[in-house]
Amino acid sequence: MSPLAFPSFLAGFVLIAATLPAAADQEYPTFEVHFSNGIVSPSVIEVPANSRFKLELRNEGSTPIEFESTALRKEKVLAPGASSFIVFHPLDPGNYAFFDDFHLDMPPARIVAR
Amino acid sequence: MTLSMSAQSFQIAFVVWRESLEALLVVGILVTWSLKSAPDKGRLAMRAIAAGVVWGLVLATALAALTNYAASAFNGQVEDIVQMLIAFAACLLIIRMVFWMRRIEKGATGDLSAQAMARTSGQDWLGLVALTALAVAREGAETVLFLYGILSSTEVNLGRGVLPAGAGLLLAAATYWSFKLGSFGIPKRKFLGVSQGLLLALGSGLMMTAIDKAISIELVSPMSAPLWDSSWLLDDSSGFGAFLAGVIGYRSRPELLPVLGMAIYWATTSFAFVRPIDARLSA
Repeated sequence: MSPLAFPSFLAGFVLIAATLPAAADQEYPTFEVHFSNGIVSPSVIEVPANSRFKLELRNEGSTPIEFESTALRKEKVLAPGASSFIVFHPLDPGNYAFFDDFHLDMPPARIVAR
Repeated sequence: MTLSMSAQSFQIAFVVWRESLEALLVVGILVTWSLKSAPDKGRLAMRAIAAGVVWGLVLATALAALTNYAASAFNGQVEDIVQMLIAFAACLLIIRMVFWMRRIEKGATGDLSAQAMARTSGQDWLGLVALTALAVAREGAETVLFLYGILSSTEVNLGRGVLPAGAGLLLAAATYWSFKLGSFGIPKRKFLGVSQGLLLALGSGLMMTAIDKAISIELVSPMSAPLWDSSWLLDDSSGFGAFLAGVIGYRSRPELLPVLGMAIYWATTSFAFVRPIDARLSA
């Protein structure tokens, strides 16, 4: 096998990722979500339908969490004490469940787009 | 307090076990399959897989670092793009691997065997390296982030974080060994079928991940509203449904594109199991 093939394959990945345009830094309606060892608050987040919005995620517990939504196709891992954000594209009105993938025994929370 | 602490420890062990399992399954299947089907090339195969594991661990750490430090600068897009490319590449490699396995097995009973193995070229070994690396990298990145999270925790101590995480890793290793030991008891033909089925199931989860990421970065449209809602039967957002969603790509409210993607995936891979026409005629 060519020893260079795999590294160049990887380099290709990184190049493609780096050249793709970053979404413009706009001001979106922003909502905060707090995580603490599997407890999500608020457990229901109301967001405007048909417009982009941003979720600010904060992990205030003592274990890592992973925001995950199969319906919204987003996932994000946060270390204890860490915070980050996710920008969502416009949603149709409706209910979208999300959960903490590192605490699957806890009930899911949801985003409600109106 | 002790109850909630032991629940938390269990949680940590479970997450580490689950996150490591997929990568270990892929490695386990490839190792066992290589040893069973190509004993004479076993050493070469082991070396390819070991190289893949090392590359995978390097890539996993790089991915975890990217997620932690660089991602927020691009609205999290870079992370999604890299994850999409990795999932898609791993899915293609699994399809290729299963076709390769089938080709060798078909020849295994006849005089084609020698030919098939002789044709096992550098490309096939590279495929083995790449698939192992991507499988380890994808799941490994989450494990690295999770462990990093535990270690950076303000209340980190042995009992709370490190021990359960170590227990999870040990459990995953035990699962791997029991899989390997168990495989000796199963008749060869059955083992080959089961391992290919498992690989294809994991590939289906990877395909769904790639489609999800592509939709999420708005590269493609989902093509429709959700076609049906099976969340009353099995919800993809909690418990076992969420577990299945991660491993095999189950979705309870799929749109047209994910359904098409799955249909194309399974139609393509089923060709690997169609008996060639001449074999059917002579049977």
